[in-house]
Amino acid sequence: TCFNPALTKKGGLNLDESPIEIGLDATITSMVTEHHRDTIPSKNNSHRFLLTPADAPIDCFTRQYYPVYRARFEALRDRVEENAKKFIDPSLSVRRLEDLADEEMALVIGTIEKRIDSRPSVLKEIAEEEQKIQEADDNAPAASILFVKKDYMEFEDETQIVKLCGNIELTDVTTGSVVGLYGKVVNENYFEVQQWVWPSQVKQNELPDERPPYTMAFISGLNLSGKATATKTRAALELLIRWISGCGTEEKETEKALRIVRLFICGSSISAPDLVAEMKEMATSITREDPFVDQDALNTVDELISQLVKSIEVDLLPGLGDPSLSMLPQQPFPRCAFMKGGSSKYLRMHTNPSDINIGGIDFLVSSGQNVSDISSSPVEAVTLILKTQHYAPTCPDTVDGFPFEDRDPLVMDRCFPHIVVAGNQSRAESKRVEFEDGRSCLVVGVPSFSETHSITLLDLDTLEVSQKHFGFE
Amino acid sequence: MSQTGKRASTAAESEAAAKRRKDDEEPKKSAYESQLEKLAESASESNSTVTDESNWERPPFDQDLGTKRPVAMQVLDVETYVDSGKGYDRTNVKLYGITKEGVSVCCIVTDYFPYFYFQTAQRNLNNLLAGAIRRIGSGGQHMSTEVTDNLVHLKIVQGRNLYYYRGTEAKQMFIKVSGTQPTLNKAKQVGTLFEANIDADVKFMAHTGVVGCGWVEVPIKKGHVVPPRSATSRCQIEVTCNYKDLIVHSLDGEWVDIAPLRTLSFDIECLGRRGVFPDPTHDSVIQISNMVKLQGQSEPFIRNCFVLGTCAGVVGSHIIECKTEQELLEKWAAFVRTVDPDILTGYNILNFDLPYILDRAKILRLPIVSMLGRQKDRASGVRDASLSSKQMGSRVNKSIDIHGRVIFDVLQVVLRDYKLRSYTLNSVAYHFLSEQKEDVEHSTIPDLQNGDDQSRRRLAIYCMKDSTLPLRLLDKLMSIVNYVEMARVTGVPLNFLLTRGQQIKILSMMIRRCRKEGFFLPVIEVNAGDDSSYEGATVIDPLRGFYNEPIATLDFASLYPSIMIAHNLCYTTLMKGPQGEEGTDYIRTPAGNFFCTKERRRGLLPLILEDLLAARKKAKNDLKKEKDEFKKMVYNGRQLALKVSANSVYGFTGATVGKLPCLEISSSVTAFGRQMIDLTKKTVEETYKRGYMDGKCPSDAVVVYGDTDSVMVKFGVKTVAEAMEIGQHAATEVSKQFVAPIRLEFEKVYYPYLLINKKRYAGLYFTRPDKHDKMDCKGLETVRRDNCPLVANVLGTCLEKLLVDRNADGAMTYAKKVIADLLCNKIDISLLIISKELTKSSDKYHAKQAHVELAARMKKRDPGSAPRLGDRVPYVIVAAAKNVPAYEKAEDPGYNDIPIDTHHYLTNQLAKPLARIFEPILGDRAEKILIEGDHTRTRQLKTSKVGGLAMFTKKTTKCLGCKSVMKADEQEEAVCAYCRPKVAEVHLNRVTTLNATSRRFGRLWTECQNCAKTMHEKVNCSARDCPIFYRREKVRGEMREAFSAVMRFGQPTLDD
Repeated sequence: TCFNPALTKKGGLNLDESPIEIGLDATITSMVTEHHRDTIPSKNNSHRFLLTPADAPIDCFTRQYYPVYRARFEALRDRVEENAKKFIDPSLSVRRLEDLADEEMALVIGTIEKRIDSRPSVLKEIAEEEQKIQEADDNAPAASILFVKKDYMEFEDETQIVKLCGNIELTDVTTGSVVGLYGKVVNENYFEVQQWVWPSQVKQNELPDERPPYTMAFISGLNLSGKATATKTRAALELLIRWISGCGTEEKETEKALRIVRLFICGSSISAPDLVAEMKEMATSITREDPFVDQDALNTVDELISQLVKSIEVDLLPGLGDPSLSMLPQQPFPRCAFMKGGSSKYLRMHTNPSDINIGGIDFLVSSGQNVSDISSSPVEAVTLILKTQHYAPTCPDTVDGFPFEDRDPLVMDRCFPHIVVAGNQSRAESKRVEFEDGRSCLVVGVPSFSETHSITLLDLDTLEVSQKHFGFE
Repeated sequence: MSQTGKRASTAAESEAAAKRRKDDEEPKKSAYESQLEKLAESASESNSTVTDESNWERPPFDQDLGTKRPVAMQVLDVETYVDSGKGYDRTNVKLYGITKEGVSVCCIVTDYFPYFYFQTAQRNLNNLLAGAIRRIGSGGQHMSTEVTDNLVHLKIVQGRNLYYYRGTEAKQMFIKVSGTQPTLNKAKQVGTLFEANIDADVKFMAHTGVVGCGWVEVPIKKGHVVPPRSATSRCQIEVTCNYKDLIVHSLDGEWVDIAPLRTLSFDIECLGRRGVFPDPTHDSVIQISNMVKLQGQSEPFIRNCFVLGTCAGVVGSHIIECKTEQELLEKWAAFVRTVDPDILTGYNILNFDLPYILDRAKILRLPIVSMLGRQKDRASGVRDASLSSKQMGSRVNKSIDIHGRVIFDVLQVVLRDYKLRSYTLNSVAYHFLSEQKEDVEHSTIPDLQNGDDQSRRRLAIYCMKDSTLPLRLLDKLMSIVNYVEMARVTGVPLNFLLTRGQQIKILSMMIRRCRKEGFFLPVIEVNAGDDSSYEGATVIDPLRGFYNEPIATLDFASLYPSIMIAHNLCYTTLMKGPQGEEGTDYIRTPAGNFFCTKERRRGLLPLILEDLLAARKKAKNDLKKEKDEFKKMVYNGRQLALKVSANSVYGFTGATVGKLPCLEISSSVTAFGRQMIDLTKKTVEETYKRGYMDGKCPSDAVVVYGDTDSVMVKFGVKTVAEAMEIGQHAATEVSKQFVAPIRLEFEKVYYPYLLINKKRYAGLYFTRPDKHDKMDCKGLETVRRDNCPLVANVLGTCLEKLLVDRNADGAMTYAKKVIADLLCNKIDISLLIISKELTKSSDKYHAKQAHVELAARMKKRDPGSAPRLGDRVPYVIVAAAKNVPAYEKAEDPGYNDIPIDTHHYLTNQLAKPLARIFEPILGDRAEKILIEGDHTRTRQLKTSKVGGLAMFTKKTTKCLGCKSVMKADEQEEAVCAYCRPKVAEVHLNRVTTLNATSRRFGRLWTECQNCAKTMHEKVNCSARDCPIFYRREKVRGEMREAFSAVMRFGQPTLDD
């Protein structure tokens, strides 16, 4: 049996009372009983997400971002053409905007650029800051009607840029998507879209009929911040550890917990700084402070991992706020980052995103920056990502990305995933979505643990998704 | 539906458009948005391609115009010229304008003769006249009387001198001299002259009632259409008309509208040599980009670029390849003549682009290139024109006459109307549009030009951006509409508003009114050395302090105009001494001058001012009632113009080097103003004693400050609502003391209010009791250019903490922290950049100046990227040895890793402005606390990594944890053996720094990619003016350092 002095009071913890020191300390570890847990085979296919010495020579930050877009365009152009022939007209050939006569119907391929007024902008922030104490000016221009800032879309092929109109909506696409447009140039610098296509989708492996009778667990967004971590979150974590290691009070629960073969921690284990505030800070950036380092938070995560790996295989993804370069694709943590749990062979270090095959099923797991940047609904966002055939189309525009010189590893070119899991979502959501030619994908949005105190369970056999809540309320 | 919309579609429906018209009729929409769309549609429909020349020409016009239909046009430009021929010389007037349909018209107004008046002491005027005529006759013996009559015509007229009330309304005898302008100039040596010093075109307009940008009409049968072959202008239609037949429309109803003016914005690129400012004698013009837009539309309908050499196409723009520079310039000039723009704009075209093209044309001997105007036989030339104005100081501009077109340089507009830190196109665009433009370095232009057709395409795109931005600025600032309205209100032609000073506007209004009332304006001899001054406005001594309570503000509405109206102050009412009864016949002003009462004679200035104020009231009303967005803009521009004009009348009378100075008026005005402010203070303090208003006044009111036309009162109340109630009450009560229309108004409450000194204060501005409108600051040096941005940022945040958060301690703590950070070298270098314009080369400056010396040094390092004349030189002050003179301490912010002179920034930049805002709270010790407090104890000096001893230091691998030198066998490790147990901690430190840095890297570089508005092309921007330029360059180095440190923890690997 398990015993935790903090839990003796009937009805759980009284959180309003003096803060109860729930450390993830050794007392618990000793209480975890050894249970047998099966393992299943897996293969990590994420090598292309690793930064090679060629990607990151010493002067790699003298680069700009345009090579990434060019590489993306090169990688997807033929696949867009393929789809255009398939869905619009097999006789179409790709034309360049500059060669088009007016009103000539043609297929063009290029990158979408949404020009949105509300896009966060350092420049705008600085301007606002500078004008904060500008003297009141009677001649200041009133609202001019000729000067309307409306959101619109632009499209860039190899050499030219046009504005878009016609049969394409701002919500249909994201900045950075590579698409094919069929239509004509009108009004000189507008391209009127009649039909448009995504790149063709990579092939999907057969989903095995016989699937392992196990469960996988996903957790994300612990958002630990050392001493400032909410007591509730700490308590919920305690419960989680106890439950997952088979210390359930009921046998049924223990059994359920022991069916879990892998636990994925999908990023933001450490609380990330407020991005909006940070943007503003960067704009005013009066001082170059040494950034605040939260050693406590890291220790807590380390402790958590070291406990978990005693009873379950843990897969760790870096996310926003974690000690890994925040540019996508995020690199695996070095093992030395975690003194206690880092050396365990039951801990796997992953890239973010991570392309991994577990028990014959192709997973794409991410810590979610790429997803939440597109929509608050993970299902909607992932659906768009899969259509785009790019794991993070808005990277590097609004999601930080590494300045690659000659490749864009985030282009989806290996296989179409069976399951996409995105961490740190504003809500739990899951749905099976159908795609071209019978492809289908289960999209799973994993909410932040710090907000919901729950983890997401995925039954590999039935592909059912459920939430397990840990809390006292 | 707006008038403009109708116009555009009518234009579109003209013949050419009709031909192209597609089967599908456009759906009828009424909403404003579809209106704009429709405008764009109709424009594009009539010219379905901008990628060729088919839409350059103005749409053809109705052939009945001038014969069966009257020609009604909006007057854009006016010029007088001597027409020699047909037996005798005449001075004719040409009016250039545009009809509602967008047809360009040149109207030659005939039979008008310029004139002036003179007065002589001679009694028998008739004899005098006869003698004069005889003398003229003997000069030209063989001329007919008709000719002599027209050359110089003398006539006796009745009128009154504008100056002085002489106790009677009786008119006096004047001699009117009229004739052609050249003969008039010769005739000016007689007697006391009146109106001989006023421009002929201004007088013509006053005489006929034509106003700048107003509508005139040539009725059918009265006008005569000149056949195209014998036309003198390049306008679509030329008509002649006797000046008496010209109909002038008042600016109401359908004549409120603005014609669909064609605005051409252009920009040139020159092939400069390294480090030298382009010189037309050597450097050729390689590109000229053009954008042509119709007034009322939001997008240009012609977008093109003339390029030298081959150039890849740009979708949506017309690229015109030229083999030689000669071809380029000639094609461009032909383009201008074909497009026939009404307004030429761009950024600094007046002083750079246009003169450059014209000079280049002279050097290459291409006379046709200078034929840019609407006069067939007149080339455009450049000369220097100096303009001195009280408001702007004196400056020398180029003066270019492009007959019939208005040069509307956006730089000139911004210089006149806005006070900014910097006037480069980039920073102006940033200020008003929150946008930057990609700025190519001068030195890269030859590379791009000498590259291939793709690199020239890139250049063409930059060039076209530079001609697009001025149009966007004009739209955003509503400059064209506002200037059109100013021209209408004051009556002067549009181009006067940018080329002339303030006075001409008032003079134009004066002369119109004088003509109506029979007054003549004497020619006043101006003594340049005479700068007699008078006492200005009063400033009540401020009771300095930080008021954490509501302070009500009482303002006199239109103070000076209403004083002049109330007391009947005018040239025509001024008296040389008292006459009759004081009070009934005359008043004595507090300045000791005498003016007659309005019962004796109503002054002209008061009449003009009353009209202006009434017109403004009407314009504001019309603005409120108007639904049409375009007309709203017009009414708004009108009310602004009326306000500005009313307020400048006073200044006109006080301008000693002006046309009609009258210090008796201006000194009386200010004297009344001072008296009123003092009276207000006295009344408020005496009336609003404790317990007044049924106990609503909790304590005696105190006037804490007052300036010119406002007083700030502390009523001692606790809430904004109470302050508003009492303030309102006081405004009404005190107003009763003054003669109408002088009125005290209650406008706003400051709460809290930081009163620093005379003309310097800040406060939260309330016009409603619940929420403040804004933070209002006066006189704080935030826009001063020799301040670095840090000053403005710190002041802004401190004021915000002080006023909005009401946290004085927080503000002080913040200020101290910034100072501590500054001394520890933690301030971002981009906030320390100071910039000054390089106006002349270094040998022409008397004393050595920091930015000039720096520019010279930069030129030695790299002549290509060094600042050139006219550029702003950004620099930081660096630490140097004690005896190094100040001018050697400036350095290029991008130059290596330079040690900042933090002390200089503290004492010369931050200390004074900060001390000033803290003085009301801390007293005189504020500055001492700020620059000598405990927070200044820790200092960190950065040593330069270049030069000096730096070159002897050897690079060794150090432990990332303790910075000790690593042993030989540890070279590949991140930390030394001692630090190994805490390697996770060291890693976390490093990676946290890396993440903060990478976030900056990502945000800054994607911002630039976004600003360049391309994703597939490299950002080639070198805009040193841009606030993120140095940040973005610097973050690369920081990133390299942070990244390589983290990589020492091991190349990332994957687990299966």
